[in-house]
Amino acid sequence: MEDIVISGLSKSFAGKPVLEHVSAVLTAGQVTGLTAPSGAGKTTLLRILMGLERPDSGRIAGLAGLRLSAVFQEDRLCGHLSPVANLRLVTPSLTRAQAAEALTAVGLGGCLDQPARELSGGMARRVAILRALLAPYDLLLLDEPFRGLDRETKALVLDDTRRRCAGRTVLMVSHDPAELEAMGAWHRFTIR
Amino acid sequence: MSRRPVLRAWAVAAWLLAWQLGAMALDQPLFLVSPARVLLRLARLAGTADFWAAVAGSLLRITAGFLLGAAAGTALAALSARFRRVEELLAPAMLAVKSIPVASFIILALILFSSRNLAVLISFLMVLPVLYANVLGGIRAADRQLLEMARVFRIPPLRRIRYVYAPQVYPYLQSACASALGLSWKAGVAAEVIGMPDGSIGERLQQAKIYLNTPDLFAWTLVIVLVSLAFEKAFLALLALGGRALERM
Repeated sequence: MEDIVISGLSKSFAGKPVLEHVSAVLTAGQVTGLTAPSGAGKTTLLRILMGLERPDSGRIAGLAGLRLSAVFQEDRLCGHLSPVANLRLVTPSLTRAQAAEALTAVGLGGCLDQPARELSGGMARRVAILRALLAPYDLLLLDEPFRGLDRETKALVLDDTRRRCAGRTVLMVSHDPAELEAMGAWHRFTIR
Repeated sequence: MSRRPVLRAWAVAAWLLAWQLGAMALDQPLFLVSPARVLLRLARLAGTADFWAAVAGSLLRITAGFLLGAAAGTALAALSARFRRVEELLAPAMLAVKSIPVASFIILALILFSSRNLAVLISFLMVLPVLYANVLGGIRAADRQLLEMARVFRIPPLRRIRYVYAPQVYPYLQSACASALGLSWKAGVAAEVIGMPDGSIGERLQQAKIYLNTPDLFAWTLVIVLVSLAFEKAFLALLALGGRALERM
């Protein structure tokens, strides 16, 4: 897989610029960190990479045809489905045993078949993270993935995430430099 | 918060008693027959094969119209949600079906077709716009964030419909069916009364009117109420079962 090269990306909403001439390189097989103040357009950049928004100008090379996976700012789980079913919805090849094992590793072994709408915020977040990590992907986009997790759970999930992402191309948005460091995001860029 | 209407046995008994007392006071069975006599007549009718043939015929035709209307309304709503031009094309037709009085449809249909399956067509026409509008509303109200998630993860269309759209649209479908069920029965029987197809409840009602047979008129009316209520309860129970199945993977 090649590096993904973002060149001069701009985007406005109702005439108000949200992204202005953003350029960056997402190195293949590595975690790239994105830090920026709130409202700087981090989520908009991720949405453009996901194909959910079109940039007004600029280009992204190396993205075409790539399989994406993502942890959104929101959990975006199907509330009526269990954690196991939410994982299998995006990764049908995943067996129930594999899903259960992954969920148990992040402390969710006790709620494998509970509807996602009944999970606490932290539990739902862990399911959303696992869904992204277990899905087949070439580029993983993480939008403040560990937000809302308590310290202990965060340490557990961060370790699991780092292990599963090793050698993969990842773009991670975070306000916390320690999180980026723990994820091994030595390449970082910022937007204003 | 809206309260569900309550139907209590004592209230039903009070109204039946009032009816019985009214009939006894009037003492004119031609105008107001007593509930006891209606039940007696109904029991006699229920002992004949013709009675059951008429009930089965009407039930079959109205159910067919209802199911066809529900299926077409749902399919057209899905197409309209996907293609703006389809929605634009259908808007005047749906407005016309909703606005034109059912009697006009019945008479027009009688000119064009035989009365045999008139109830199917009329029931279909009554159900179609209700299902169409509700299901379209449900699709439009689907959680945008979940749809984006499905797009990013490239969930195939059939799985997307089954696991992302269907559970969100289902409550709208249930509510539309609950409204449309009663409507399909009222309109279907009205079509039979005017068209008088052989072996139908509507035909029996019309005959009772022609011969001023008030006990039969009341008995057949009671049959319509009971059959439509039973059908409504059974269908909604099946829908609820379907809803629970959708919650599983």
